[in-house]
Amino acid sequence: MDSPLLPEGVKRCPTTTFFFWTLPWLALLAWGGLSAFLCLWKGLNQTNMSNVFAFALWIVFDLAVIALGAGAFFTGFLTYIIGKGELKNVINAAVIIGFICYSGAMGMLGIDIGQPIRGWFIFWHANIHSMLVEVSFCITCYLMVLGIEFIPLILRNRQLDKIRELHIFGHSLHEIMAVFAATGTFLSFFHQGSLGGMFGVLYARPFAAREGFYIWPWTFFLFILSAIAAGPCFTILCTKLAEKISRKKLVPDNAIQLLAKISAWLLSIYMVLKIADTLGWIYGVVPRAGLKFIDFYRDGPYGIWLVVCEIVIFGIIPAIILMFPKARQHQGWLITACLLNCTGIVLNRFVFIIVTLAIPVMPFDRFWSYLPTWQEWGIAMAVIGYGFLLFSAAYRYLPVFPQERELNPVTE
Amino acid sequence: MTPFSFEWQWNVEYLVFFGLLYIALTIIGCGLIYCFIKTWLNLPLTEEHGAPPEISYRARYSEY
Repeated sequence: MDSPLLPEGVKRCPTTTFFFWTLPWLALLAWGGLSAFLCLWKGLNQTNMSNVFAFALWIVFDLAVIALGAGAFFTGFLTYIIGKGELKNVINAAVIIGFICYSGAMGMLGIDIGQPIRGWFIFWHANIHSMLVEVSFCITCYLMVLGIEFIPLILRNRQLDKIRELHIFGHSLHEIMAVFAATGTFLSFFHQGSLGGMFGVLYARPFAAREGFYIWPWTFFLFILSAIAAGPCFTILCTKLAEKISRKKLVPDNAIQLLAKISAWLLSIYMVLKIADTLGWIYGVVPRAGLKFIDFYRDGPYGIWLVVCEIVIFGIIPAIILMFPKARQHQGWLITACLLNCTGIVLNRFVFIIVTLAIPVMPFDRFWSYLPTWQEWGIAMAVIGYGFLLFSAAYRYLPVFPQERELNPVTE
Repeated sequence: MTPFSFEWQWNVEYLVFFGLLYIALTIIGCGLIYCFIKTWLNLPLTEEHGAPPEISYRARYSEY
Protein backbone atom coordinates (compact mmCIF):
# COMPACT_ATOMS: atom_id res chain seq x y z
CA MET A 1 0.00 0.00 0.00
CA ASP A 2 2.82 2.38 0.90
CA SER A 3 5.31 1.02 -1.64
CA PRO A 4 5.66 4.35 -3.55
CA LEU A 5 7.10 5.81 -0.35
CA LEU A 6 9.70 3.09 0.25
CA PRO A 7 13.32 3.68 -0.80
CA GLU A 8 14.29 2.26 -4.16
CA GLY A 9 16.16 -1.03 -4.44
CA VAL A 10 15.57 -2.23 -0.89
CA LYS A 11 13.15 -4.73 0.58
CA ARG A 12 10.68 -3.85 3.35
CA CYS A 13 8.08 -5.91 5.20
CA PRO A 14 4.40 -5.73 4.11
CA THR A 15 2.34 -2.81 5.43
CA THR A 16 0.22 -5.05 7.68
CA THR A 17 3.32 -6.52 9.34
CA PHE A 18 4.65 -3.02 9.88
CA PHE A 19 1.30 -1.97 11.34
CA PHE A 20 1.35 -4.83 13.88
CA TRP A 21 4.99 -4.02 14.73
CA THR A 22 3.97 -0.47 15.65
CA LEU A 23 1.12 -1.54 17.97
CA PRO A 24 3.18 -2.14 21.17
CA TRP A 25 4.96 1.17 20.70
CA LEU A 26 1.67 2.95 20.08
CA ALA A 27 0.39 1.36 23.31
CA LEU A 28 3.39 2.80 25.19
CA LEU A 29 2.67 6.19 23.65
CA ALA A 30 -0.99 5.95 24.70
CA TRP A 31 0.10 5.10 28.27
CA GLY A 32 2.41 8.13 28.21
CA GLY A 33 -0.32 10.32 26.72
CA LEU A 34 -2.74 9.38 29.51
CA SER A 35 -0.03 9.98 32.15
CA ALA A 36 0.86 13.35 30.64
CA PHE A 37 -2.79 14.36 30.53
CA LEU A 38 -3.23 13.48 34.22
CA CYS A 39 -0.03 15.34 35.21
CA LEU A 40 -1.07 18.44 33.28
CA TRP A 41 -4.68 18.32 34.39
CA LYS A 42 -4.30 17.34 38.06
CA GLY A 43 -0.71 18.43 38.65
CA LEU A 44 2.50 16.81 39.84
CA ASN A 45 0.67 15.17 42.74
CA GLN A 46 0.26 12.35 40.22
CA THR A 47 3.93 11.57 40.84
CA ASN A 48 5.87 10.47 43.90
CA MET A 49 8.15 13.48 43.62
CA SER A 50 8.43 15.51 46.79
CA ASN A 51 10.52 18.25 48.36
CA VAL A 52 13.21 15.58 48.87
CA PHE A 53 12.90 14.02 45.43
CA ALA A 54 12.49 17.11 43.26
CA PHE A 55 14.68 15.20 40.81
CA ALA A 56 13.24 11.77 40.18
CA LEU A 57 12.69 9.14 37.48
CA TRP A 58 12.21 11.69 34.68
CA ILE A 59 15.51 13.42 35.41
CA VAL A 60 17.33 10.07 35.57
CA PHE A 61 15.77 9.21 32.20
CA ASP A 62 16.61 12.65 30.82
CA LEU A 63 20.24 12.46 31.84
CA ALA A 64 20.51 8.88 30.60
CA VAL A 65 18.93 9.45 27.17
CA ILE A 66 20.89 12.66 26.66
CA ALA A 67 24.12 10.77 27.39
CA LEU A 68 23.11 7.86 25.15
CA GLY A 69 22.14 10.31 22.41
CA ALA A 70 25.66 11.76 22.49
CA GLY A 71 26.50 9.36 19.67
CA ALA A 72 24.87 11.89 17.31
CA PHE A 73 27.15 14.83 18.04
CA PHE A 74 30.24 12.71 18.47
CA THR A 75 29.71 10.73 15.27
CA GLY A 76 28.92 14.01 13.49
CA PHE A 77 32.14 15.49 14.85
CA LEU A 78 34.17 12.46 13.72
CA THR A 79 32.50 12.35 10.31
CA TYR A 80 32.33 16.00 9.28
CA ILE A 81 35.13 17.64 11.29
CA ILE A 82 37.75 14.88 11.69
CA GLY A 83 36.86 13.33 8.32
CA LYS A 84 36.31 9.68 9.26
CA GLY A 85 34.72 8.58 5.99
CA GLU A 86 33.67 5.13 7.22
CA LEU A 87 31.21 6.70 9.65
CA LYS A 88 29.12 8.17 6.82
CA ASN A 89 27.47 4.75 6.75
CA VAL A 90 26.19 5.17 10.28
CA ILE A 91 25.81 8.95 10.67
CA ASN A 92 22.13 8.98 9.59
CA ALA A 93 21.23 6.40 12.21
CA ALA A 94 23.23 8.31 14.84
CA VAL A 95 21.39 11.55 13.98
CA ILE A 96 17.97 9.87 14.22
CA ILE A 97 18.89 8.29 17.58
CA GLY A 98 20.14 11.66 18.83
CA PHE A 99 16.98 13.39 17.63
CA ILE A 100 14.81 10.79 19.37
CA CYS A 101 16.79 11.07 22.62
CA TYR A 102 16.82 14.86 22.74
CA SER A 103 13.23 15.44 21.62
CA GLY A 104 12.09 12.70 24.04
CA ALA A 105 14.01 14.35 26.87
CA MET A 106 12.55 17.76 26.00
CA GLY A 107 9.02 16.30 25.95
CA MET A 108 9.59 14.69 29.35
CA LEU A 109 10.97 17.95 30.76
CA GLY A 110 7.84 19.70 29.47
CA ILE A 111 5.78 17.56 31.85
CA ASP A 112 8.39 17.66 34.62
CA ILE A 113 8.29 21.45 34.98
CA GLY A 114 4.63 21.17 35.91
CA GLN A 115 3.45 24.18 33.92
CA PRO A 116 4.73 23.81 30.34
CA ILE A 117 3.03 27.03 29.28
CA ARG A 118 5.57 28.82 31.46
CA GLY A 119 8.49 26.85 30.02
CA TRP A 120 9.73 29.95 28.21
CA PHE A 121 10.45 31.63 31.58
CA ILE A 122 13.77 29.81 31.66
CA PHE A 123 14.84 31.70 28.54
CA TRP A 124 13.28 35.06 29.37
CA HIS A 125 14.29 35.16 33.04
CA ALA A 126 17.60 33.36 32.60
CA ASN A 127 19.68 32.84 35.73
CA ILE A 128 23.07 32.94 34.06
CA HIS A 129 24.80 31.43 37.11
CA SER A 130 22.79 28.24 36.83
CA MET A 131 24.31 25.21 35.11
CA LEU A 132 20.78 23.98 34.38
CA VAL A 133 19.92 27.18 32.51
CA GLU A 134 22.95 26.58 30.32
CA VAL A 135 21.76 23.01 29.81
CA SER A 136 18.29 24.25 28.82
CA PHE A 137 19.72 26.75 26.33
CA CYS A 138 22.11 24.21 24.84
CA ILE A 139 19.68 21.32 24.49
CA THR A 140 17.10 23.61 22.88
CA CYS A 141 19.64 24.89 20.36
CA TYR A 142 21.08 21.42 19.84
CA LEU A 143 17.63 19.99 19.14
CA MET A 144 17.35 22.62 16.39
CA VAL A 145 20.71 21.45 15.01
CA LEU A 146 19.60 17.81 15.14
CA GLY A 147 16.40 18.78 13.33
CA ILE A 148 18.49 20.48 10.64
CA GLU A 149 20.72 17.40 10.37
CA PHE A 150 17.62 15.19 10.09
CA ILE A 151 15.89 17.30 7.38
CA PRO A 152 18.14 16.29 4.43
CA LEU A 153 17.47 12.63 5.24
CA ILE A 154 13.69 13.21 5.36
CA LEU A 155 13.93 15.05 2.03
CA ARG A 156 15.61 11.94 0.55
CA ASN A 157 12.27 10.13 0.80
CA ARG A 158 11.39 8.80 -2.64
CA GLN A 159 8.37 11.05 -3.13
CA LEU A 160 9.77 14.18 -1.46
CA ASP A 161 12.97 13.85 -3.47
CA LYS A 162 10.93 14.28 -6.66
CA ILE A 163 10.04 17.85 -5.64
CA ARG A 164 12.84 19.90 -7.19
CA GLU A 165 12.85 22.65 -4.55
CA LEU A 166 13.12 20.18 -1.69
CA HIS A 167 15.78 18.16 -3.50
CA ILE A 168 17.97 21.24 -3.97
CA PHE A 169 17.31 22.45 -0.42
CA GLY A 170 18.37 19.09 1.03
CA HIS A 171 21.44 19.21 -1.18
CA SER A 172 22.30 22.73 0.03
CA LEU A 173 21.93 21.68 3.66
CA HIS A 174 24.22 18.72 3.07
CA GLU A 175 26.92 20.92 1.60
CA ILE A 176 27.31 22.96 4.79
CA MET A 177 26.54 20.16 7.24
CA ALA A 178 30.04 20.49 8.72
CA VAL A 179 29.06 23.95 10.04
CA PHE A 180 25.98 22.55 11.77
CA ALA A 181 27.97 19.56 13.05
CA ALA A 182 30.58 21.90 14.56
CA THR A 183 27.86 24.00 16.23
CA GLY A 184 26.24 20.82 17.53
CA THR A 185 29.55 19.64 18.95
CA PHE A 186 30.06 22.94 20.77
CA LEU A 187 26.52 22.91 22.20
CA SER A 188 26.62 19.24 23.15
CA PHE A 189 30.02 19.48 24.77
CA PHE A 190 28.80 22.21 27.09
CA HIS A 191 25.45 20.81 28.06
CA GLN A 192 26.81 17.30 28.68
CA GLY A 193 29.39 18.93 30.94
CA SER A 194 26.98 21.29 32.64
CA LEU A 195 24.75 18.39 33.65
CA GLY A 196 27.74 17.13 35.62
CA GLY A 197 28.69 20.67 36.60
CA MET A 198 25.57 20.87 38.74
CA PHE A 199 27.25 18.68 41.38
CA GLY A 200 29.87 21.34 41.98
CA VAL A 201 27.33 23.37 43.94
CA LEU A 202 25.72 20.52 45.89
CA TYR A 203 27.72 21.32 49.03
CA ALA A 204 24.95 19.95 51.25
CA ARG A 205 25.10 16.57 49.51
CA PRO A 206 28.63 15.27 50.05
CA PHE A 207 27.70 11.99 48.33
CA ALA A 208 27.60 13.79 44.98
CA ALA A 209 29.48 17.04 45.66
CA ARG A 210 32.79 17.41 43.84
CA GLU A 211 35.56 19.94 43.63
CA GLY A 212 37.33 20.78 40.43
CA PHE A 213 38.92 23.39 38.23
CA TYR A 214 37.64 27.02 38.41
CA ILE A 215 33.81 26.81 38.13
CA TRP A 216 33.89 23.28 36.71
CA PRO A 217 33.82 20.32 39.13
CA TRP A 218 35.47 17.07 37.99
CA THR A 219 32.00 15.70 37.23
CA PHE A 220 31.75 18.30 34.43
CA PHE A 221 34.55 16.55 32.55
CA LEU A 222 33.48 13.04 33.61
CA PHE A 223 29.96 13.56 32.27
CA ILE A 224 31.32 14.64 28.87
CA LEU A 225 33.72 11.71 28.72
CA SER A 226 31.15 9.14 29.83
CA ALA A 227 28.63 10.44 27.28
CA ILE A 228 31.03 10.29 24.34
CA ALA A 229 32.17 6.84 25.49
CA ALA A 230 28.63 5.43 25.75
CA GLY A 231 26.96 7.32 22.87
CA PRO A 232 28.75 5.42 20.07
CA CYS A 233 28.02 2.12 21.87
CA PHE A 234 24.32 2.99 21.94
CA THR A 235 24.46 3.75 18.21
CA ILE A 236 26.08 0.33 17.66
CA LEU A 237 23.38 -1.36 19.77
CA CYS A 238 20.53 0.33 17.86
CA THR A 239 22.12 -0.55 14.53
CA LYS A 240 22.62 -4.17 15.58
CA LEU A 241 19.02 -4.33 16.81
CA ALA A 242 17.81 -2.96 13.45
CA GLU A 243 19.94 -5.59 11.68
CA LYS A 244 18.56 -8.35 13.90
CA ILE A 245 14.93 -7.32 13.38
CA SER A 246 15.25 -6.67 9.65
CA ARG A 247 17.48 -9.77 9.22
CA LYS A 248 19.84 -7.77 7.02
CA LYS A 249 23.32 -6.38 7.18
CA LEU A 250 22.90 -2.62 7.23
CA VAL A 251 26.28 -1.20 8.14
CA PRO A 252 29.71 -2.45 7.03
CA ASP A 253 31.87 -3.90 9.80
CA ASN A 254 34.60 -1.28 9.42
CA ALA A 255 32.23 1.51 10.55
CA ILE A 256 31.05 -0.47 13.58
CA GLN A 257 34.61 -1.50 14.47
CA LEU A 258 35.83 2.10 14.26
CA LEU A 259 33.05 3.28 16.57
CA ALA A 260 33.78 0.42 18.99
CA LYS A 261 37.51 1.20 18.98
CA ILE A 262 36.95 4.89 19.66
CA SER A 263 34.48 4.00 22.39
CA ALA A 264 37.03 1.60 23.92
CA TRP A 265 39.68 4.29 24.26
CA LEU A 266 37.25 6.88 25.60
CA LEU A 267 35.76 4.42 28.08
CA SER A 268 39.23 3.41 29.28
CA ILE A 269 40.25 7.04 29.82
CA TYR A 270 36.95 7.68 31.55
CA MET A 271 37.42 4.70 33.87
CA VAL A 272 40.91 5.84 34.89
CA LEU A 273 39.59 9.32 35.69
CA LYS A 274 36.45 7.94 37.35
CA ILE A 275 38.55 5.76 39.67
CA ALA A 276 40.79 8.75 40.45
CA ASP A 277 37.70 10.87 41.12
CA THR A 278 36.22 8.19 43.40
CA LEU A 279 39.49 7.94 45.38
CA GLY A 280 39.69 11.73 45.59
CA TRP A 281 36.13 11.77 46.87
CA ILE A 282 36.77 9.00 49.45
CA TYR A 283 39.90 10.66 50.83
CA GLY A 284 38.96 14.30 50.24
CA VAL A 285 35.32 15.39 50.07
CA VAL A 286 33.95 12.73 52.44
CA PRO A 287 36.34 13.24 55.43
CA ARG A 288 36.02 17.01 55.10
CA ALA A 289 32.24 16.62 55.44
CA GLY A 290 32.86 14.75 58.72
CA LEU A 291 31.77 11.42 57.25
CA LYS A 292 33.26 8.09 56.29
CA PHE A 293 32.94 6.35 52.92
CA ILE A 294 30.94 3.50 54.46
CA ASP A 295 28.41 5.94 55.97
CA PHE A 296 26.83 6.35 52.54
CA TYR A 297 26.20 2.65 52.04
CA ARG A 298 24.61 1.68 55.38
CA ASP A 299 20.94 2.42 54.78
CA GLY A 300 18.44 1.21 52.25
CA PRO A 301 19.20 -1.05 49.33
CA TYR A 302 22.21 0.94 48.11
CA GLY A 303 25.33 -0.85 49.31
CA ILE A 304 28.96 -1.08 48.22
CA TRP A 305 27.68 -3.24 45.36
CA LEU A 306 26.69 -0.01 43.59
CA VAL A 307 30.33 1.11 43.41
CA VAL A 308 31.45 -2.36 42.29
CA CYS A 309 28.77 -2.48 39.59
CA GLU A 310 29.41 1.03 38.30
CA ILE A 311 33.19 0.82 38.18
CA VAL A 312 34.01 -2.85 37.63
CA ILE A 313 31.09 -4.63 35.93
CA PHE A 314 29.74 -1.76 33.83
CA GLY A 315 33.03 0.09 33.40
CA ILE A 316 36.28 -1.84 33.48
CA ILE A 317 34.88 -5.05 31.94
CA PRO A 318 33.34 -3.42 28.81
CA ALA A 319 36.47 -1.28 28.43
CA ILE A 320 38.65 -4.42 28.39
CA ILE A 321 36.33 -6.24 25.95
CA LEU A 322 36.22 -3.28 23.55
CA MET A 323 39.95 -2.69 23.81
CA PHE A 324 40.91 -6.07 22.34
CA PRO A 325 40.35 -6.19 18.55
CA LYS A 326 39.59 -9.94 18.59
CA ALA A 327 36.99 -9.51 21.32
CA ARG A 328 35.22 -6.56 19.71
CA GLN A 329 35.19 -8.30 16.33
CA HIS A 330 33.17 -11.10 17.92
CA GLN A 331 29.49 -10.18 17.55
CA GLY A 332 28.44 -11.54 20.96
CA TRP A 333 31.23 -9.84 22.89
CA LEU A 334 30.71 -6.57 21.05
CA ILE A 335 27.01 -6.47 21.93
CA THR A 336 27.71 -7.54 25.53
CA ALA A 337 30.31 -4.79 25.94
CA CYS A 338 28.01 -2.15 24.41
CA LEU A 339 25.13 -3.27 26.66
CA LEU A 340 27.35 -3.13 29.76
CA ASN A 341 28.69 0.29 28.78
CA CYS A 342 25.20 1.74 28.20
CA THR A 343 23.89 0.17 31.43
CA GLY A 344 26.85 1.71 33.24
CA ILE A 345 26.00 5.21 32.13
CA VAL A 346 22.33 4.79 33.12
CA LEU A 347 23.47 3.49 36.53
CA ASN A 348 25.87 6.42 36.88
CA ARG A 349 23.09 8.94 36.27
CA PHE A 350 20.78 7.01 38.62
CA VAL A 351 23.41 7.11 41.40
CA PHE A 352 24.04 10.81 40.92
CA ILE A 353 20.33 11.67 41.04
CA ILE A 354 18.32 9.19 43.11
CA VAL A 355 20.93 7.74 45.47
CA THR A 356 22.27 11.23 46.17
CA LEU A 357 18.85 12.38 47.33
CA ALA A 358 17.97 9.19 49.22
CA ILE A 359 21.05 8.99 51.44
CA PRO A 360 20.83 10.80 54.80
CA VAL A 361 23.37 13.56 55.34
CA MET A 362 22.79 14.87 58.87
CA PRO A 363 22.75 12.63 61.98
CA PHE A 364 19.02 13.31 62.43
CA ASP A 365 18.22 12.56 58.79
CA ARG A 366 16.65 9.30 57.70
CA PHE A 367 16.93 7.29 54.51
CA TRP A 368 14.34 8.42 51.97
CA SER A 369 12.86 5.86 49.65
CA TYR A 370 11.26 6.67 46.34
CA LEU A 371 9.27 4.56 43.92
CA PRO A 372 7.85 6.12 40.76
CA THR A 373 4.09 6.05 40.17
CA TRP A 374 2.60 4.44 37.06
CA GLN A 375 2.18 7.94 35.62
CA GLU A 376 5.92 8.58 35.95
CA TRP A 377 6.71 5.24 34.34
CA GLY A 378 4.14 5.97 31.64
CA ILE A 379 5.88 9.14 30.52
CA ALA A 380 9.31 7.51 30.63
CA MET A 381 8.07 4.48 28.65
CA ALA A 382 6.43 6.79 26.10
CA VAL A 383 9.90 8.02 25.16
CA ILE A 384 10.91 4.42 24.40
CA GLY A 385 7.72 3.88 22.37
CA TYR A 386 8.28 7.13 20.50
CA GLY A 387 11.87 6.14 19.80
CA PHE A 388 10.94 2.75 18.36
CA LEU A 389 8.17 4.30 16.25
CA LEU A 390 10.29 7.09 14.82
CA PHE A 391 13.29 4.88 14.12
CA SER A 392 11.06 2.20 12.53
CA ALA A 393 9.29 4.76 10.34
CA ALA A 394 12.62 6.35 9.37
CA TYR A 395 14.08 2.94 8.46
CA ARG A 396 11.00 2.03 6.43
CA TYR A 397 10.61 5.25 4.47
CA LEU A 398 14.06 6.83 4.32
CA PRO A 399 17.47 5.70 3.07
CA VAL A 400 18.90 5.60 6.61
CA PHE A 401 21.66 3.12 5.81
CA PRO A 402 23.30 4.24 2.56
CA GLN A 403 24.99 0.91 1.89
CA GLU A 404 21.91 -1.21 2.51
CA ARG A 405 21.39 -1.70 -1.22
CA GLU A 406 24.96 -2.87 -1.84
CA LEU A 407 25.02 -5.11 1.21
CA ASN A 408 21.62 -6.70 0.46
CA PRO A 409 21.06 -6.91 -3.30
CA VAL A 410 17.38 -7.58 -4.05
CA THR A 411 16.91 -10.65 -6.24
CA GLU A 412 13.67 -10.47 -8.20
CA MET B 1 17.16 44.40 28.74
CA THR B 2 17.41 42.71 25.36
CA PRO B 3 14.63 41.07 23.38
CA PHE B 4 15.77 37.76 24.86
CA SER B 5 16.54 38.61 28.48
CA PHE B 6 14.29 40.64 30.69
CA GLU B 7 16.91 41.03 33.44
CA TRP B 8 19.83 41.84 31.13
CA GLN B 9 22.82 43.50 32.83
CA TRP B 10 25.86 44.96 31.12
CA ASN B 11 28.58 42.82 32.70
CA VAL B 12 31.02 40.13 31.59
CA GLU B 13 28.96 37.23 32.86
CA TYR B 14 25.91 38.20 30.83
CA LEU B 15 28.03 39.02 27.79
CA VAL B 16 29.78 35.61 27.84
CA PHE B 17 26.65 33.57 28.56
CA PHE B 18 24.35 35.27 26.09
CA GLY B 19 27.20 36.00 23.68
CA LEU B 20 27.83 32.28 23.18
CA LEU B 21 24.11 31.62 22.85
CA TYR B 22 23.69 34.35 20.23
CA ILE B 23 26.76 33.09 18.33
CA ALA B 24 25.25 29.59 18.19
CA LEU B 25 21.84 30.94 17.13
CA THR B 26 23.45 33.24 14.54
CA ILE B 27 25.39 30.34 13.00
CA ILE B 28 22.24 28.21 12.84
CA GLY B 29 20.18 31.09 11.42
CA CYS B 30 22.81 32.15 8.87
CA GLY B 31 23.31 28.53 7.79
CA LEU B 32 19.60 28.13 7.12
CA ILE B 33 19.36 31.50 5.32
CA TYR B 34 22.37 30.51 3.17
CA CYS B 35 20.63 27.25 2.22
CA PHE B 36 17.35 29.00 1.40
CA ILE B 37 19.13 31.58 -0.79
CA LYS B 38 21.28 28.93 -2.47
CA THR B 39 18.19 26.85 -3.22
CA TRP B 40 16.44 29.89 -4.66
CA LEU B 41 19.46 30.77 -6.82
CA ASN B 42 19.95 27.19 -8.01
CA LEU B 43 16.35 26.61 -9.00
CA PRO B 44 16.52 28.37 -12.43
CA LEU B 45 19.87 26.65 -13.14
CA THR B 46 18.46 23.18 -12.56
CA GLU B 47 15.56 23.97 -14.91
CA GLU B 48 18.15 24.26 -17.66
CA HIS B 49 20.55 21.51 -16.61
CA GLY B 50 18.32 19.09 -14.67
CA ALA B 51 18.82 18.06 -11.05
CA PRO B 52 22.06 19.07 -9.26
CA PRO B 53 24.83 16.48 -9.32
CA GLU B 54 24.76 13.85 -6.60
CA ILE B 55 26.58 14.87 -3.42
CA SER B 56 30.10 13.61 -3.90
CA TYR B 57 30.42 11.45 -0.82
CA ARG B 58 26.99 9.92 -1.35
CA ALA B 59 28.10 8.81 -4.81
CA ARG B 60 31.25 7.23 -3.39
CA TYR B 61 29.71 5.11 -0.63
CA SER B 62 30.87 1.88 -2.20
CA GLU B 63 34.48 3.04 -1.88
CA TYR B 64 34.42 3.07 1.91
